[in-house]
Amino acid sequence: MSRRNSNRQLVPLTWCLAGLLLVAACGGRGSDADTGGVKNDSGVKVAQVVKKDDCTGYQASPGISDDEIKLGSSYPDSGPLASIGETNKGMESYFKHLNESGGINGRKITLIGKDDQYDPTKASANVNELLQKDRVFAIVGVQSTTGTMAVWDQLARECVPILESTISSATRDQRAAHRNAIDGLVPYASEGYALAGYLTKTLGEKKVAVITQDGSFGDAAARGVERAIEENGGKLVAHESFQVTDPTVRSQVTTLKASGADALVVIAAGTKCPQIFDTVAASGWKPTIATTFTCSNTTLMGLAKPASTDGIISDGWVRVRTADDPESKTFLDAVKKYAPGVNASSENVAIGWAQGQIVAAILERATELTRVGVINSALGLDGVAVPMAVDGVKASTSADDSAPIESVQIRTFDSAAGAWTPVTTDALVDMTGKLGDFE
Amino acid sequence: MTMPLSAPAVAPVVAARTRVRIGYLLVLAAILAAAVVPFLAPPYVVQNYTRVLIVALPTVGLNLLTGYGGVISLGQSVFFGLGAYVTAILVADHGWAWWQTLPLAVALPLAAGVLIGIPSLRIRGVYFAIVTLVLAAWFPNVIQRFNETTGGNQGKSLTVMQAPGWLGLAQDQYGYLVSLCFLLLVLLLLRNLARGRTGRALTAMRDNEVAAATQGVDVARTKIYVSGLSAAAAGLGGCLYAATQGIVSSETAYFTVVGAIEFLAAMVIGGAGTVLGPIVGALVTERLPVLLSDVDPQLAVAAYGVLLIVVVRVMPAGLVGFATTLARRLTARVTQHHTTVNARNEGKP
Amino acid sequence: MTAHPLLEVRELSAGYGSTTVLRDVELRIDAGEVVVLLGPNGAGKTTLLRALTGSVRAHGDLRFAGASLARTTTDGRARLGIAHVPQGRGTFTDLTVEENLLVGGYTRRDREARADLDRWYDFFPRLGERRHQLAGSMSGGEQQMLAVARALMLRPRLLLLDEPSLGLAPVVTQALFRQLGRLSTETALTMLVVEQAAHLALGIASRAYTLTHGTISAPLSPQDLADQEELRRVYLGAAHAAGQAQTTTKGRTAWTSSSNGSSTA
Repeated sequence: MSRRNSNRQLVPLTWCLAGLLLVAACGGRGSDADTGGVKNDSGVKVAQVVKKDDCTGYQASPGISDDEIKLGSSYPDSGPLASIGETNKGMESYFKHLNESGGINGRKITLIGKDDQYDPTKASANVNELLQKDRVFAIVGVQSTTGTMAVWDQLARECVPILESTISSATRDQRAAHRNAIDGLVPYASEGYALAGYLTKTLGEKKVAVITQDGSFGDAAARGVERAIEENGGKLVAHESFQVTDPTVRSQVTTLKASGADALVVIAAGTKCPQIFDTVAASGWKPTIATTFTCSNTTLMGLAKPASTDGIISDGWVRVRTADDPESKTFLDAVKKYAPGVNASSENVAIGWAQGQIVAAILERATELTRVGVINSALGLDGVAVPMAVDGVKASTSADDSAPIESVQIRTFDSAAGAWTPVTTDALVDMTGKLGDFE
Repeated sequence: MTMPLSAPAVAPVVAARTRVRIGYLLVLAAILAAAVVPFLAPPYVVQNYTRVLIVALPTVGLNLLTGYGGVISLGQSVFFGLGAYVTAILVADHGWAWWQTLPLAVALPLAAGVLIGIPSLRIRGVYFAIVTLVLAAWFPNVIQRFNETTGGNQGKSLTVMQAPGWLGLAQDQYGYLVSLCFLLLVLLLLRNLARGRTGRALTAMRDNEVAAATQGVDVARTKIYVSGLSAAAAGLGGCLYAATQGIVSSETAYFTVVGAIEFLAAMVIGGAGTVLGPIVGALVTERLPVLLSDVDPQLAVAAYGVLLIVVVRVMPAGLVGFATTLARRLTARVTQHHTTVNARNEGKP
Repeated sequence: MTAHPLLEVRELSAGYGSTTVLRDVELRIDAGEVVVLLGPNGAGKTTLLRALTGSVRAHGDLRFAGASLARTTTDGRARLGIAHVPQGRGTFTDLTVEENLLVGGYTRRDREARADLDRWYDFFPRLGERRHQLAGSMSGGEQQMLAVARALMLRPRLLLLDEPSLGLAPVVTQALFRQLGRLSTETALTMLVVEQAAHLALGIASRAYTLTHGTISAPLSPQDLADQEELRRVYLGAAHAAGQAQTTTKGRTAWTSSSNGSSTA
């Protein structure tokens, strides 16, 4: 008779609840406000794109004190996509490195990270907790587009900065509606444009095929690819897509090969990349292959047969780390010191380090450390140098351009050495301000 | 006495009555506590517990199908997702209010649940579990395949439910209280169902399907009916999920196998076949991993797994089943003397 | 009484998968009769009862009160009034006694079924005492009582009993058959009893069949049984004490010791 005799009368309870609701409704919850803005000596005057009055429930400077700036982040730290979260380890290493030399005008940066397993629901819960419980000043380094989008409506209303977070497949309209959100990566459309541009303009390929992963990432990148092919008088002869869960890509590759294309753009991520490269090689087709940075991780490239990947073209905005480069040395030493368990050769860690440098630049250039002040600083980057970026790649933004990095360096893969080398002609593709053209 | 029988007669009527009263008070206290949470806690905590209430809904449904009915399904995430997308798409793209989407967000999963219920008559036990698991694994692909409508992995954003002005409630408080009301309503319905004709038939079927059929229980119809109801509860949860969270995506864990497993784990941990089990289970599966993750994200996954195994091994009837047994022993001890005297008196004709 | 027998079985064969257990079984039961089915283990007695409830695949002509059962499902047959007390009792162990009985009354309106509860609590007082106890926690004898009472909740026109004495102490078995005898005399309930404890079963029977290797005999009257020493030896066993039963004029046997035993202690 276990479950039978408890809670017999839920009905009157429901009425009690209704009554309680009415009583409670008259109460409501007060809000606690933080006091005033904080001046920043190294500030640079920029256009005031976002104003305090545009915000609802605005709090100017929580998480800012005389000696600290508290930032929060949500990223996958466990689960199948935990490797993406390595980015945040690189960012955290940079902040700790920066703090040793005084941080931002004497304020040290504290980064509080929370695991979201790449689930947008968890990302949203994490961000709310960071803002309300940990009272962080801004959100940085959210690594999934959906995760960022799960909170950006609310944070746009409250004017909370979301810096260097993944919104790389967002459209121009979406970006315009969320000026508080600053892209952490090269927009996918821009990257597709750079790769296809290199194939058709520099290498003179005429017949190009493309294979994309289903979803917003693939769609956005494909838009840039189409645009570049069109501009350079080439022809997109075939476009196939695949699902991450497809067991093979053989039928797609067969169709692409049959189109007679001489070049192939691969827009994919994770272990699908080596699978595609091997399937193309096995089919006996030998197109010139260009692929997005999501495939270019050397570990991923190493999963394919060396013959399948030799000479593949990709791109990057973070410099190739070499032994004789001082920035590379600083980076490697700092990661070893502050994140000893992390694989410093991972591209993601270096990207995180560079993203940290951009966050620091935005904070340093803000005239006052208020949320609105920082958002405007983030939208007012005018060719700011980022030490970890490729020489010549500068961070630039404007009221209509929330992507700081829109230049990439074209590279080719040497499968014998297992390393990327910058190409010698037309290596740097600068697409600053062009994002709106890719729609 | 007609038959000589060996087992001792136990009719602890008084103990049972005491228990009813204690149970009643406990549930009343729990509901009151649940109702004041949104007025005392900061918004992020309220939102966290809103998700607990919402996750409890598909778990309540699953409990009906699996806990009472013995049909193991791993497809609950599909119905949850269906409900969520019905609401998200209608609100975001067709300008409906969230509550207007409610009937459809419940009806569509209900119909899908009925359809899934039909093969459950032929495919049994673990095989049916596998079929539903495949369905759960396939669902995110369907979302991606129709990304023009669903928003694919980038997701579909919608305006979250807002409290009517005269209530003076913040959005998170309103979302919480609406979810709480729906959960209580569903629990009440389930409780009546579980203790009535259908519930008895379900337990009978789980114990001995052939014997149930020979007593006139229409096994096929009951299974299909319960499968539909179970899916409808999940659909309601999905609707509330979309309306309170404001974004749905193929990467939302609840719409994937991860969600299906969470709902099943919540049912088992809370106590399969108990009325309150799903709520306790949802509380554990929704909050415990987060608390553990604050300590160490990588270890959290392993620690959580070990904990689940321990609970299942030590308390096969789940936390609620365990607590009920414990409470019974305690009240039995307290009222022992009282009971024996009364039972003896009442036992006489 | 109608012109048709209550149950009429012709050329029935049944089995599991590719194995045929019953061949060309012919059986007839009139309303009000208690018929006993005897036979060694593995002869197909249980299969025959299952074929009657529709829970095994069967071919042949099955008629209940003249209407064919060919297209009637198991639960449909229950609604027609065929109740089954399966071998090993088949009580619903996770339900209380009362809930078991209410499932028994599933085909009827809940209010009607509840009204019947007291009747069977009176008939089986032990069940009344334990109405809120889980069936799984009761003794074998109590569970058998429950299985019978549950079947009776259906208000059956035909009660099929499969080895009700299985696993029960002899004294409990005797008490059970006393109750079954009472049911037959007081309510004229039609029963088909499969039983190893043949001496007890024959005591309440009006006719019997024997089933051997899936083949059924011609109907036998109790007198036939009494006359055939061979049958007595095979089916009634050495333990049978002939003096225990006395045949009534109707062909039914009552147990002299306590056929009028009170139902209350």
